[in-house]
Amino acid sequence: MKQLVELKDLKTYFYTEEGVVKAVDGVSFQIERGETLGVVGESGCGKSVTALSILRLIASPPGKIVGGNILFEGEDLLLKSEAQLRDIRGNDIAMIFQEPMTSLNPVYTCGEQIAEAIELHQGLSRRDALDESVDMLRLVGIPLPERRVREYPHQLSGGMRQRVMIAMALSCNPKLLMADEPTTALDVTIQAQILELMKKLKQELGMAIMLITHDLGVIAEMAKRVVVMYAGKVVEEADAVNLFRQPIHPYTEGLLNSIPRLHRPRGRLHVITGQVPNPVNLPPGCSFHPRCPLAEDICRRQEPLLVELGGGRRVSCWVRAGGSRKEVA
Amino acid sequence: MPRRREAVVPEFEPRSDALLEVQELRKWFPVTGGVFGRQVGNVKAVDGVNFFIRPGETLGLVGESGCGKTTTGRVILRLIEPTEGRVYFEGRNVFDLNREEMRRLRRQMQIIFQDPYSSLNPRMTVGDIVGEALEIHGVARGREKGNRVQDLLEVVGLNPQHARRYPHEFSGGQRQRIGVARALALNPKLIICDEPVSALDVSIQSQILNLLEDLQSEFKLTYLFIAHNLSVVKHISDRVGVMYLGQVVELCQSDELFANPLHPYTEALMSAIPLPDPEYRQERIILEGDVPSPMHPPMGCHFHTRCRYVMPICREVEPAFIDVGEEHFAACHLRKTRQKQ
Ligand SMILES: Nc1ncnc2c1ncn2[C@@H]1O[C@H](COP(=O)(O)OP(=O)(O)OP(=O)(O)O)[C@@H](O)[C@H]1O
Ligand SMILES: Nc1ncnc2c1ncn2[C@@H]1O[C@H](COP(=O)(O)OP(=O)(O)O)[C@@H](O)[C@H]1O
Ligand code: SF4
Ligand code: SF4
Ligand SMILES: [Mg+2]
Ligand SMILES: [Mg+2]
Repeated sequence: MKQLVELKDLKTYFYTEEGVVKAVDGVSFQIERGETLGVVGESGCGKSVTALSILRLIASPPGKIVGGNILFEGEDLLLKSEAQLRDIRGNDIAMIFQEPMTSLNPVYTCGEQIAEAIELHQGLSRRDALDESVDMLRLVGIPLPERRVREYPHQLSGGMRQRVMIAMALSCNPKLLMADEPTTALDVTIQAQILELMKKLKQELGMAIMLITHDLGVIAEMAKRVVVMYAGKVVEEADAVNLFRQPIHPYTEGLLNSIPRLHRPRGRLHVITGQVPNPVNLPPGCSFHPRCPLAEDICRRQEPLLVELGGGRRVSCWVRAGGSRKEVA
Repeated sequence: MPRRREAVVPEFEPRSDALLEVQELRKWFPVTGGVFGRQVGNVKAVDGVNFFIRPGETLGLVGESGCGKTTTGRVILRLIEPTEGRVYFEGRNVFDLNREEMRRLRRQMQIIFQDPYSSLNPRMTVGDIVGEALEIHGVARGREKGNRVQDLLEVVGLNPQHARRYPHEFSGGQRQRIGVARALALNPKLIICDEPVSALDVSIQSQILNLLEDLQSEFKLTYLFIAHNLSVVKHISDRVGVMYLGQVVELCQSDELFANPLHPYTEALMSAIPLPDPEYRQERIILEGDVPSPMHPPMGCHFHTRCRYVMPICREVEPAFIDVGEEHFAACHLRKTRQKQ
């Protein structure tokens, strides 16, 4: 089986006082074994909720996965028991978050935390697990690992904490690593270290990575394939090279044009007008229509389907992808 | 051990062509510790900064977290007092001004903050936030103030009818526009923009950058633009200064900096930026380790612990910040051999 993960029409909603937030509303995509898939979009578009849904970590209430399937190696995670899920979370799927401090326990040393993960998932004794955690810290490039295992998270810099998080996530040798904005809180020179590390480890360990970020530069550098999300939906999916060469969805195009480029002459920036819509009150039809320069009548009335355009490209847009064609599952 | 510097910059007359000039600026924050709460050291947040800005120009200050950008901006405005150094605004040292003189000067220098959420008082209406300074400085009140506020909201692209609303009713980008309107209220000459777009989404970021550019040409504003994102800084700035551990290590024309970086830190910083182009592969210089603590900056060149060109002299003597030609300043012992080809 080539596909490691298959999301089919996933819907995750939050039932809040203001109304129903359709955080993820019919998302489908696949992740192949060993590939890096980038998921990009502005804040609130549903990236994190997608990842948390895969791990079945949506707080309920207020959240609920209300539809779809999440196949992992062909088996639907939505049908698993809590015990089975714990097993999968530790062994097959691991996740790292934006702010490492909030996901590390301040009262345990780094070594203890990594060792615990190892003990749990590899069935080693405490002593062996602690030895192994030194090796893990060395693997993620922490200098003087013998000393660092005895230190607490607050004694480390942001970049080092993220390395510890990666060490913990990798200690179970997962098939899928989900990284949610892993470098957003870091400085660029530290980000460069972490991205380099992730590339190296991926090559050595061969896991698939689902990389979530709003930074198109990070996506271009890391991902082979890219999914662009807007207001809870996938609006475009493509091979990274094609996406950056020729974006098709007006939102993708607008995003790419609105970032200042280091190696291009300065000029006036392109602007996407308006703002991201209120999630409890999405515009009818295509959610992007109030901001779209190409919008036509039909866009305001009817939602475009995600249409396969060949070459692994999928786009949902009436104008650019002839929304009249049938959706290809 | 006494500090060795390559050359001591003498106190010199402020440049006549500068709106703002910063000379040898230092801000050390005392650190206390132990049972008696005695001072055990200093955080050298700003440790010898030099630059100037010409009227109508945008000077960008870029650097990693904690290198002293915000502190520099706040000391210039005297929101915190300096430890040492001089800041000349139109030729007068602002640290020599008395309270009343400083109050008058404040009208000329304004600031826009990074966080559009915490920088606006949630209990004040947008009209009061934007109009507050007009009243404090006795510029306008009552109906006149109201009219001026409406004009300002319009100028920054907000609906003037929304003056009665509260900040929480606006999105991040709109709140940043409110911050811009507030800064414009007194017709300042200089606006210090401290990471004005860092908290914003890409599509909103470009709206604010364009707005700042439009306002600059309309009102002949001068900007000190502080940010950690080099692409953004390059886009908006005429000249750019690069900071590392409390110092400006390189400063020159924006295009020149990117075409011909002289300082090894600038070079590494630029190579670290992931470019939004999967087909472009650049040589990447990975800096080892972290930025040292500003409590104990390395002897000699502050960057020597991470520099791949480090020489023995770098560990002992602090390089001076020198113009190597055509106003391209750099603080590095290598500059003589790395001058423009
Ligand atoms: N009031 C203070 N007391 C003690 N240390 C301080 C104080 N304010 C700032 N610092 C320290 O001074 C140094 C410079 O801080 P500053 O806020 O100027 O950095 P910055 O370049 O603006 O960083 P960032 O990009 O994170 O905003 C940091 O080490 C910071 O922790
Ligand atoms: N626990 C929650 N309760 C209510 N709404 C939520 C919750 N978590 C996320 N959301 C909403 O779901 C949407 C998608 O959020 P998220 O996936 O975190 O976005 P991002 O793409 O920035 O990661 C947003 O509108 C967010 O406000
Ligand atoms: S469907 Fe219509 S509104 Fe939506 S992106 Fe395409 S052209 Fe624009
Ligand atoms: S002075 Fe020496 S250590 Fe400092 S940047 Fe130049 S070469 Fe590197
Ligand atoms: Mg998120
Ligand atoms: Mg700052």
